Amino acid sequence: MSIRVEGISKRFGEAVALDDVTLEIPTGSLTALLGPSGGGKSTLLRIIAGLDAPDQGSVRIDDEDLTGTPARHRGVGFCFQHYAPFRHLSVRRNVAFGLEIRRRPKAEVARRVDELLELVGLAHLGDRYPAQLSGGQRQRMALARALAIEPKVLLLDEPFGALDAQVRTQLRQWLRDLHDTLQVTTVLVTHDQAEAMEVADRLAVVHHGRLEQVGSPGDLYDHPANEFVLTFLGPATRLDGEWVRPHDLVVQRAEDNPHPAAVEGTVARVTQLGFEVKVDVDLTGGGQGACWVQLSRGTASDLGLAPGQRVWVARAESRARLHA
Amino acid sequence: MRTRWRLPLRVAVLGYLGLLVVLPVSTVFYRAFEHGLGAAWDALTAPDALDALWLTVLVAVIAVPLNTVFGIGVSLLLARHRFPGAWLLDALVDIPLAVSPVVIGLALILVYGKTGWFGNWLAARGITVIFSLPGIVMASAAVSLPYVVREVLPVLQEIGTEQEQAARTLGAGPLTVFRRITLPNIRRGLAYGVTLTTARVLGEFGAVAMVSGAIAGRTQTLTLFISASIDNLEPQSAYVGAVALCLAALIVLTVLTVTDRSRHSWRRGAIL
Repeated sequence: MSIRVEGISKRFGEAVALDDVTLEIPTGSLTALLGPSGGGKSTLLRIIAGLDAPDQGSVRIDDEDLTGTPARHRGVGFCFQHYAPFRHLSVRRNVAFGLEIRRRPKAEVARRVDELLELVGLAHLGDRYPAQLSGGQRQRMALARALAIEPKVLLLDEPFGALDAQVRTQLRQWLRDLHDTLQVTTVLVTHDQAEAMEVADRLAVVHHGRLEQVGSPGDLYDHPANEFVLTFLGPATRLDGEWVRPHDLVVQRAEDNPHPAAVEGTVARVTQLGFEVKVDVDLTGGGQGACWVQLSRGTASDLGLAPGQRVWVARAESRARLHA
Repeated sequence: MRTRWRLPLRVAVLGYLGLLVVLPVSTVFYRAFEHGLGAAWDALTAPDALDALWLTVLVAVIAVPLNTVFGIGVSLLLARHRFPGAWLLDALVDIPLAVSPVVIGLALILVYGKTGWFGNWLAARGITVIFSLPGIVMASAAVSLPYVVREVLPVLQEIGTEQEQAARTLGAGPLTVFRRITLPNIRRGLAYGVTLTTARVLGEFGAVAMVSGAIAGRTQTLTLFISASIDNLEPQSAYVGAVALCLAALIVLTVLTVTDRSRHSWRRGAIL
């Protein structure tokens, strides 16, 4: 089911958390609210869930205005960053919570909880308590608990934020698969652009309480609306007064026949970063200043680059560019 | 800690406890049963002693639930809401800990006594507070006011609000959230706070002495009975009263420890 927030503003005292945000989240999508910490994305998620009230604006889920509806009547599944497990209840009872308070028949609750534990791979841990689970298991328990009430939408606040790197990667893939299975409209908040691009099919970049840009990951990477989106979503450098991605630049030796718009420079430093090589170049031609270029190891060794060497730097068939 | 300090430290700690608590209390027990069980039983079942015991239990049964409900309410207010004057409420709760119980008793007389602010108004409606049960309950409640708050408030602050919010998103109303999420989480602190409250109510002397008038058989609690027995040169009654008080406290402690243990196996290995 779709979500539509319109003209949402929220202040905490003097601080503006959200400033006139309007966003449409289509049915069945997996949307990431992406941006630096403190940018307002978690507040937006909490407003959708009804855990915070906006100062202005409206929240509609499935075309129903829920702005004044309390959280418990919104039918929204919410997962907290630290999972908020009910510490005094077993995994089973945690998952069953939403069904138990709806006074569903015991047999139905048991069947549904079994299904959900199976779905999230915790069937063998139903009798454990949250304190006896790993971070990733707690995360999946929280998801099962949220899914138990058959939510209209699923909201995840920094779902992988508290996990170590390896578990995080596994869970991303797992969440992606889960979403493909369930097709429930999902919104997740993250400050990690790689995570957002890997998991989500739509990104909404939020910064300083404003919505900067919405679109598919590829779209935003290649056609960023502004400097912030460009620099936040990936590496960026400036050449000839224009922002470009450093992997969209080519380096040529001084004696080569330069590209039409090539800029002259001197190699300042060459850094090996595993499969890629980072080349810093001091520009002496047209655009003064410095830029850096991302090359593959093969290309770099073919060029035989060394500090002090004179080179040309030019845009390849660049896609992302932005006049600075 | 280095091994050679371990033994002297143990001796010092145990000696301190022994001299201050174990030795005096066991002496009271010894004295109570010095002349045999029969004599002790007779002293305990004397009318004044039974009345005092009954009154003490009655006061506890009224004052402890009052302070439990009030303590949870104040803790929730301070932990979950922001309002002007919260710091003042927080400080006010501690007054009974800081001020002598005698002063609290005196203050109650000034407000509710015959010549006090509400004294006439209450007297005109046939309600006597001072020198009667309501006064004793009020004095006991006043001195034991802080204990539940001081045990529950830190727990509420530590567990935070996320579990409660999660319950709300799952469809729980305020009462359900409190009953199913908040209460189980604060149970341990609450149990401890209630134990301390009960112990304080059972053992309170100064404040109750001020407001009760210590009329034997009517407004004499166990502590007042013990004191009066010593004054009246009836030490056997005093010893037996003291033992009864100790046993009452022991029962409260046992009940709470047992219920706490059986319900809290989930705390094993808790790392959250």
